[in-house]
Amino acid sequence: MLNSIITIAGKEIKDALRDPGSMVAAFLYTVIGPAVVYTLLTILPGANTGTINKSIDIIGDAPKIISYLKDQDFILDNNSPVKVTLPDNIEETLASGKQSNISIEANMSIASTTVGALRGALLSYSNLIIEERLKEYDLTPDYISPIKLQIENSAPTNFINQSLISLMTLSFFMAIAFTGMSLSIDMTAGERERMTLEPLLAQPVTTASIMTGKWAASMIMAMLGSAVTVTLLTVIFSVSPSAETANSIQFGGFTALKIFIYLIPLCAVFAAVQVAVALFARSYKEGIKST
Amino acid sequence: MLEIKNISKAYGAVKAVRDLSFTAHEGNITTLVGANGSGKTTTLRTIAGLIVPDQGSIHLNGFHVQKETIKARQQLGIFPDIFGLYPRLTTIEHLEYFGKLHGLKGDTLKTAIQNTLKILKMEDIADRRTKGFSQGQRMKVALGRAFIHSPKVLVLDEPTRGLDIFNVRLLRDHLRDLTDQGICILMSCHVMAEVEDLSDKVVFMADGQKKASGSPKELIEKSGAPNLEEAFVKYVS
Repeated sequence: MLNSIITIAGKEIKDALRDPGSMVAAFLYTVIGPAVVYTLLTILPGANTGTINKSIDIIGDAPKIISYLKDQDFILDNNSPVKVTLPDNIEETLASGKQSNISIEANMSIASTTVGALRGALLSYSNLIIEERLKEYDLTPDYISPIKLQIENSAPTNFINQSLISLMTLSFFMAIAFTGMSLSIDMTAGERERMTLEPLLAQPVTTASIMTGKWAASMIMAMLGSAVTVTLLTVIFSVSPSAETANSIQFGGFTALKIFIYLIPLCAVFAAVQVAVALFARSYKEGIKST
Repeated sequence: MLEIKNISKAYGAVKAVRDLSFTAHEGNITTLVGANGSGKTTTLRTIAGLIVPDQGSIHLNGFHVQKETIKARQQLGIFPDIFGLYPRLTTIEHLEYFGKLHGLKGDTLKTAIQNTLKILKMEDIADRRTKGFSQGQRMKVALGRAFIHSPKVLVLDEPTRGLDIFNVRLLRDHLRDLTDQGICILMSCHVMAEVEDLSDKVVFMADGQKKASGSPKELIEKSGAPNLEEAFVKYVS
């Protein structure tokens, strides 16, 4: 019986792997989830702290401001997409206790993080000037900021982590559900449609062996799909800088292996359900509708 | 040897086969002849164990089909009316798959595959996937699949349907070779010329019942008809 099951499962997997259209469609779902996770990690707010491009182009002359920005790791570059325009005599204006406008022109689609960092640096510089001005009146910054708020996030996972976990869970489900689905239909409803079911059922093997072989093939495909998704997520978490700066999810090799092992029973259940449902379909098309 | 004793099968109110009995012997071709809906396919499917009869028994080389299904099927090769093949598998892979399901392995399997390829002259299509095969090539693969394990009984459901004259002749030659090897062949057929030419024994069926049986010559003589076709019409009318 075991030999028959192995023979049937082996044939079904070989047959399925030779169907490029179905394979691309099936394994596409193993890539979509990780791709969305990667996108989320890439666009996380503040996720790219370590790799922000701090090149700016300053138009105007203000040695103190430029020196301060250089201290904040900004680099002067004439080709930078971030143009900072300082008005004439800005430092004299500020020294006289007046307000001065600084304009920033940038393509925000590619330089939003640079502008954000620059904005923070200039506000800090502005606070320094406020402190100096208050000193002239023997006042401290506390005088104009009587309340200081300190907020700590006590939640076990933040919104980003929750989103990532939801997306990863969805990715695993998609991989399991869709990788084996095509095969489950092809080897039941498809077999009936091709008129190969009758010769198969007339062989000296039990119906249980045939069904077990087909279920095993579908389960192996679902496991392959899960393995692809788990591997892709492991790679994404190992190469994305956001993964360590923006969340506390640890997704290393050992975790990946544990998750894959946990997914195996799920693969078995999904494969069994898909094969059972597709079994009642009379054609491949009807099988797709059913599953 | 194939022994069918008093089998009946009904689908609701429709009685597909009624109290049918006949025997097919080794080295002979026995042909079921009947109009559409006369019960031929139901009979063949029952012999393969795909349908359980409501009553009666079938013995394949001494094995009771309903009680010893697996052992009985080991004696059987089945050639369905439509040559359903796996389009992404090659000819050799088809033979290998069905050979393995019959328990063949290792050198025995390789030898069986090589012999089948040689007998059916399939060397040129051995490594080709069956998608796009001509009807004749499909017929050869289906036939090879049916006797890769050297069955004692071969069941063919309207084997010449859809084949051109050359493939019909080819199939006829193969069936004669198989009977020469002592294989018991049971088939269903509509074409009287083929039935008369190929069959050692003919069973006329109508309304699920056996109307007459015997060699083509005997049937013609007993009916007083000029040929087998007229004899068939006379018996079933």
